[in-house]
Amino acid sequence: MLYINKLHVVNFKSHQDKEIIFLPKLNAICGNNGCGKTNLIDAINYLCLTKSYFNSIDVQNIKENENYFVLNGSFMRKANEEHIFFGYADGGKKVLKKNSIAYEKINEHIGLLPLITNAPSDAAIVTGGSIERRKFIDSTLSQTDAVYLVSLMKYNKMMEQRNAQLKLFEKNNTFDSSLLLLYDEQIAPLNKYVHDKRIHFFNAIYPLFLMNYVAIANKNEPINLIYNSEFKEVDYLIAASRNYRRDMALGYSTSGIHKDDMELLFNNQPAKKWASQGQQKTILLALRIAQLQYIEAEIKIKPILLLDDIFDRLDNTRCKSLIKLLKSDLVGQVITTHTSEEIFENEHKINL
Amino acid sequence: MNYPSQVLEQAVNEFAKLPGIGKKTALRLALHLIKRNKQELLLFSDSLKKLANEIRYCNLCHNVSDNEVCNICSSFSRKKEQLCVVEDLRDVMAIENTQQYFGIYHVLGGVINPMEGIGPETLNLESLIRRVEIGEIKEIILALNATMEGDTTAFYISKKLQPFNVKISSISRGIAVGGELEYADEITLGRAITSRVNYGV
Repeated sequence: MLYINKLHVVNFKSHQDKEIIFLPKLNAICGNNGCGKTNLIDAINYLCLTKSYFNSIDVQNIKENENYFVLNGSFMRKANEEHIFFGYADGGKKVLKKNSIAYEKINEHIGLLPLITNAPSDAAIVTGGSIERRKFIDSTLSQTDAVYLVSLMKYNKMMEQRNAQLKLFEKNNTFDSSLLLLYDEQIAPLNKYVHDKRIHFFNAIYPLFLMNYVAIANKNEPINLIYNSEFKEVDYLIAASRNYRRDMALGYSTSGIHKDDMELLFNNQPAKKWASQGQQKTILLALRIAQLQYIEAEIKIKPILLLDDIFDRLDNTRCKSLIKLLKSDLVGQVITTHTSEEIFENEHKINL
Repeated sequence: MNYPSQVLEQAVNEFAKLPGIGKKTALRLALHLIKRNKQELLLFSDSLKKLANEIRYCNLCHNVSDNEVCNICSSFSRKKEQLCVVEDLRDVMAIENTQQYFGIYHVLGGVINPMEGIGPETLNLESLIRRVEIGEIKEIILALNATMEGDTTAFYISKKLQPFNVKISSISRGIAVGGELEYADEITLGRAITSRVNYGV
């Protein structure tokens, strides 16, 4: 069991000094526009993942006319209490402490308190290009598999060199397939590792996604999820060698896992064009909860779920079934933000 | 910045071209030099002139040398059947300082890195293949940096040398001497485990 039970923020964004108590299950932060609901979500993001979800420039997260911010959170993790301190002063370094002991390398903290945040801008996972969906998959797998992250980074660097080699051929008006093969033979095992892991991830979340969707929508809708990749049929080395001529003409690599896509379909058409706004939001939430379930299965701990502007675009029925889903045992602690409090009844409400 | 003299400005600009030297350091160096006596300064400039005119590279291994063939390549006490491939001169000096290697060298002058515009044709690879062709060399030791570009180059060389009857080895990678396991990163430790060696007392 993982949850945050107390958050204390000082000089953080719009908040001067604020302390909040959370319950282990569903918490609803309610309040009008501009009262700082999202900022509290972001403070939790800082404490778990050492950075902001919304603005990567730390200095811009300091309250106006102040020169530092401090965040304190106490978390319950597997029956142990962990006090996390995060401090940042203008012009200084980030300071992160666990139980009063400062980390030498801040990155070592990542992974201790797994967290999933969903914000309105994440609609791009449904409506944006394939890169958004690859990022969604990559960020999940990077949290559960360190080898995946290393392989992906190595793959990207190799591809950069391969592309540079293609441009060098073009500039010098030469071609040497043995040089491309040099990169391809090194890329092939990385390509296979990343592809196999993504397929494993896809197969795991597919049924979860469909179940979550039905749970929120309260009915069956013609939605589907497919993973598109040329590597279901061919090996990277064969696919890449077939495309030498095309790669040369275009000046970049046209084969590889950087071309894969997880397609979201509605009536067998792209959901970004055919699903309504509310259906798109339902797809996104169903994916997020499936992501949470996947991470839990891999690391045996339920991540905290932060849902910013949770009911945006959803009708009343869907809002009610979403709350029911969030209160179930499928998810752990959930912290939501919302402008009106009516929709919540017996939940733990935090009014700002 | 405004300089009181054009001669000084020119000197500063030349110093600033050196790696790791910015305009301010360049000025400090130039001012330091003009403060010293003229004789010393001329000695300094002579050595630079000599560097430009007289520096030569060994015809065989491409190491810097005063003669056509460097001291290492021409030494009788060196094992000519063992050849160590390195990226640049500094690596030769580093390995020489270990006093553990008694073979000869081959300096590539870089590693394959298309992003920097360096392809295999710009490196001293053809001469390496010619040296291996002669047949005296029995073992090639690849001592390249443990970077992606180093690995790619090692991979390329091993492929090019496949037709020849030579043993190709690579310097081992893993835990540093005196290092503690718990402080090694996962990739280094993982590699150390997979490329473990037989234990000998």
